[in-house]
Formats: sequence, C-alpha cells, structure tokens
Amino acid sequence: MNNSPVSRALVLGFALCSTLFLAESAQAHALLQSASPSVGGSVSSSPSSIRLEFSEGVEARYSHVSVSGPGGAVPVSGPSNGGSKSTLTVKVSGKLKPGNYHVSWSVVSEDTHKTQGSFNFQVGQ
Amino acid sequence: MNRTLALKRAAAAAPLLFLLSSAANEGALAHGFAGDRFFPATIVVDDPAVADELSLPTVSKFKNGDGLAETDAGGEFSKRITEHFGVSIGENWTHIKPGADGTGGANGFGNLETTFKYQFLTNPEHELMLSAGLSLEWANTGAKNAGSDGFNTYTPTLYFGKGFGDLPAEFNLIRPFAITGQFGYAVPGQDLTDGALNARTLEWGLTLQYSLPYLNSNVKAIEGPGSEFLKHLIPIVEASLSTPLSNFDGPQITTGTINPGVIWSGQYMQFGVEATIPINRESGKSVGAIAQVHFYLDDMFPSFAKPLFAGDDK
Repeated sequence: MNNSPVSRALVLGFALCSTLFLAESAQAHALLQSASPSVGGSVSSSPSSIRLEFSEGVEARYSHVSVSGPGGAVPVSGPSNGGSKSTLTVKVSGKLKPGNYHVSWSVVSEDTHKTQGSFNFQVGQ
Repeated sequence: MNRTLALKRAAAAAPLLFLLSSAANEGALAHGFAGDRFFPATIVVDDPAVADELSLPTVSKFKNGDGLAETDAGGEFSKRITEHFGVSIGENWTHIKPGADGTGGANGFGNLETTFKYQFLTNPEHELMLSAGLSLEWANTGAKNAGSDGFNTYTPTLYFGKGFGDLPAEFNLIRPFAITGQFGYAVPGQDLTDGALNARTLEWGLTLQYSLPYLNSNVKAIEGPGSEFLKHLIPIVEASLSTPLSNFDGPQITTGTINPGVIWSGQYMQFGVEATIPINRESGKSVGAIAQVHFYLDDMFPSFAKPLFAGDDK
C-alpha cells in the first residue's frame, strides 16, 4: 500500500495537521484530573480549602465552585488560580461537620471552552 | 482517477470547501459534552455531537462475506456551521484481495459521503444529546470495481447519546456508563440496477461505553500505578448493523458486526481499536480489527475550528 493514493493522502494529512498544530498555541477542554479532598474520597477532619487540578489552564474569574453538605450550602471563597493556571482553589469558611459533601464546578479554559462536573467527598467518617 | 470522476468528486466536496474558505466567527464551545458527560467519537457508530473534528485514518482488516481478505482505509472531516449544525464529508478506500481462483478482487475509492447533522437537544442534567441528520452518498464518485453505486443514496438518521451520571449515588459504579446510537433509513435513488433490486435498509448501531475519565472526575479518583493512562480509557462495545426493510429479494437478513474495544481519549486526539466480530456468515468469515485516529480540531486549532456563524441556534 506504500504507493497507493491513500498512503500519500494519509502522509499529507498528518503533515498538514502537524504543521497547523505546531503553528497554533493549542488549548483544550479543561478536565478535572484530581482534587483535594479526592473525588469520592474521605478526610478525617475538615479541610480548610478545596483544590481542583485541571488538565488545562482555566480562567478563575469565569469559573465557579460550590459546595453543599448536611447543613446545606457551604460558604466558600471565590475560586483563585494560586500558583498554577491549571489549579482552582476555594477556601472553606468555618469548619465542616462530619458528613457527605458535594462539590460542583464549572470552568472556562483559557481558549474559552466550557466544562463542568461534580463529585462527593466525606468528612470524618 | 479519470477526469470525469475527479470532477464529480470535486463537485460533491465543493459546498464544504466553500464553507471552509469562509471566515470563522466567534462562539466556539464544547464538542461532545452534555453536562458532565463527554461522548467520544466512536469508530463505526456516529456519535450524536456536532463538532469540528477529523477522523484520519480509520483502517480495518477482515474477511468479508465472500470470504475474501478486505482492507479499508478512510477518513472523515466534520465542520460546524453553527454551534449545533454541521456538515461532514467522508471517503473510504477499499482493497479486496482476489480469491485463490484469482477472482473477486477489487481496489478503489468508494462513493463520497456527505452528512448534515443538527444537534437539536442537549440536556446537561440528564447527560442527554439528540441529533438528526441526512447522509448523502453521491453516485459515481467512487470506483465501480470497488462496489460504488451508480445512484445516490439518501439516509435520514436520528442519533442519541445518554449518560447514566444522573443515577443516584447508590449506583455510583454504574454512573460512568453511557449509551449512544443511530437509526437511519437508507433510500437508494433508484429501485433497480441491471434488474436487481436496490434494498431500502435500516442502518442502525448502538454503543455501550464505560468512561474511566468520568469515573475519575465524578465518582472515584483513579490512583496508583498506571493511573495517568487509565484516566483516559473508555472501554466500549459497538454494534453496527444493517437490515433490509423493503424492495429486496430473498430472506430478510441483518448483517453487521459487534466490536469490543477501547478508546484512549487525550486532550487533542483520541485513538480507538476494536475487534470486529461478524454477527453471521453473511457479515464476514472471521474476526477482524478496526482502528482509528481522531483529532479534536476545536481543541487543536481554537481560532479556526469553531462555528462559522456565531449564536445559539437551539
């Protein structure tokens, strides 16, 4: 198949894509890679903050993180990037009681793609 | 390729090339997302999302219904016109190795296929996506000895995708599952070819997928050795089937394959590989394989690969 039109088209296609890809500063959808407290995990005591690590840089000012638990909505600070554009951190106001908590997030990556997600974690159980 | 064929292929591709040459506007958003759910591009069943994407190449190897070794290689390019309306153009090249008696071989391109798709429902809360489309296979744009038809075929199709992430927490390990599918009614542009009936067929397919990326970000963190690789995997089973519904001779036999495999989904591209298991003798003589490289063009080239016309058209 080395001399077939398909082979030549594939090589040309890959070369074109590679050139364009390298020529542009590519960004992508920001997907949650890890969190602290961890997704579906548990912590022995109340965390002072919740940190979300994404696959791409995100815009903190266009992003949102909310937390709810046994007592309803948990007051948290607005998200900030901290030391890395791919990290979002919110500070938890007060001490979380033992129980199940739900984190919802929506972010805008640096190239304006929007993604969202949610997960649970436990405190003191 | 002779001059007439080349002109026909160019004419079939012209609308897409015109759109590609137009200036892009603002408004690029997500591909394949319904709420927390990302529906990957599946190999043999078209996913419900409208997106800027490129599948190149898709390569398969198997023994066809005549017992001959067949190799296919193809590609498909998709472009959003608006946020929820897009067009794609696909092409496939076929090589069939002749049998022991030296007959049955074929070599050449199939007919060009163009698909217009409108994503008319995206429900984030229930991870539900519905689309409707029309596929056109253009007559005489492929090689006749490769089985290309001398008539157009029109296939209106419904596509769906549904994630199970809206199940309650008691079903956490089921929540990463999703199903997608398509149901199309293929209508040949002429009823007879050389006295033989051209069947009207139901072109249908289903996928069942288990998203480890979803598991990792929504249900339970994947940790430990190999976790960085596992976080990108989506084990999947696809079924691609064709059932004659009318205008055919002989028994009504559904043909197709069941394809278990896996998709690795990265930030800019994905790779998929599946076994192709024929569902009956008419569908093939042995287990084959299919693989695909798929590019997320809207992530690779965000300033270019976005809807040509801005605005929410839902």
